Amino acid sequence: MDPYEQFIQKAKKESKEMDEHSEKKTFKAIRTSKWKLILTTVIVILLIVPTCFMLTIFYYAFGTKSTTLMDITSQTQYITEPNITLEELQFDMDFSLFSMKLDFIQYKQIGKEIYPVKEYETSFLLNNLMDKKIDSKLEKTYPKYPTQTNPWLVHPKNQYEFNSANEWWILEGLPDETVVEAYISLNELTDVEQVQKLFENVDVTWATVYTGLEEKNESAEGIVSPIGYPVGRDTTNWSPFKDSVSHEQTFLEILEFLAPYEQIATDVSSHKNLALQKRIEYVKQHGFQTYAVVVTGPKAEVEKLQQNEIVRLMKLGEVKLWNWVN
Amino acid sequence: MDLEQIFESHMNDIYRYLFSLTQHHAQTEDLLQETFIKAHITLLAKPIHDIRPWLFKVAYYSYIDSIRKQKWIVVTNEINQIDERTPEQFVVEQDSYRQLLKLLNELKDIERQAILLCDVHECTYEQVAEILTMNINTVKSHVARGRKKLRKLLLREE
Repeated sequence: MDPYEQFIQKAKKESKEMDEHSEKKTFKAIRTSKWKLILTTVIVILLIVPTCFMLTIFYYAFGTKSTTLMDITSQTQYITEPNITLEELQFDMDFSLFSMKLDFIQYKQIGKEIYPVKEYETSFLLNNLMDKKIDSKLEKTYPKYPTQTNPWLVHPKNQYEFNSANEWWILEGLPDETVVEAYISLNELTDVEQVQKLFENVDVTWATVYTGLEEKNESAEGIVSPIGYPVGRDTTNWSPFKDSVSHEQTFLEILEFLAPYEQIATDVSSHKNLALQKRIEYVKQHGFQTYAVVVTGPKAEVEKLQQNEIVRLMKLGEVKLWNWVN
Repeated sequence: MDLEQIFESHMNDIYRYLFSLTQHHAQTEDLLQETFIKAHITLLAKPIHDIRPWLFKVAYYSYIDSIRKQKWIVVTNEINQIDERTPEQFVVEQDSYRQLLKLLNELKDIERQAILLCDVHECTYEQVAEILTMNINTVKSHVARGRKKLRKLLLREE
């Protein structure tokens, strides 16, 4: 064995003697390394959850704002659902990971009173509507899946699926102590004020607006449904129509507000397409004319409307016991 | 075999190897811990057949990483080192092993690695080539050159 090998062997032997001193420490190192690994993994996982939650909050605070989503939802209801009103305080907003839940209640004016009619539960994943549950208390349900001819509010030139004569017949059979909600379609296009003058003993609650598409209820995108706005003074703080000088202008403003968020608005509504851009252009050019309205009043007063020449069709909505107090 | 048992059976080898590289106990412990953390993670994902040279490789890369990090921090460990050693350790480390480490310092880094793995830790040329990610012939020539230099240094010492 040459001196080099001897030297190496000696060094190796001695270095092994060193092990006794370091063994405890190395055992400790192994054990700590394991715990360090477990701890780091747990901490990383635990940190991911709050970070995601923070990102969600930031998204709804600075991205598509939660209040914007709420406005889109509520204002869409006002213009797409006939005779509907909402209450701000009834809006429940709840945030979870990357999603937001929005619950609210729809009200209807029947006679002189406001009744809760539908409970909505919507959930958004970021700004996409993922789920919509509707719990309806209505006795007469408006067609759920719109077609060209099934709406209850019908353009003078469009076809319809209900039997108006039967509806008048049913109305006649109701006791005089009831108030009703009726969907009246007109023979011609006219001003809402004109309709209000003609129907003076009942409340006109909602009026459709002719937007150039209602003869066939079709647009380039597909089937469209009637849109309109609430008529009459709205005193609810929340309502976009509160104290508005001209409800027509507010209606147009809503359409313009919704235009950039058309997809969300369409998803939230029960309509298949809103065709907002086309409708905005038409209304701006041709003004506001209505072809059908929703009225509510005592059964006898609504019955009298049949004599009115302008009335083409009637579809009976909700019926409640007498509450007509002036 | 349990992971911890595997580590325990090789830890002395790895400790000595890392100590030869750092010549500092505290730093060696840190590196050993890091080596085992990395080994834990990898072994959870896939099995390793020849574990000993693989552990050397992990240790070697942990050491390289620490060297890179240290380039940013200029600290001399000399004072700490003297303080940390017990008189017993001091005596043990004074002799041949200490001398070997001292002599190895005078070699090129790659020759030092080759000698440490090949002659001190008894790895085969193939294993060393794998650990240092090198061609086997290059390893052989580094070992030969290292041995030659060490022999010269030994003669000079005597």
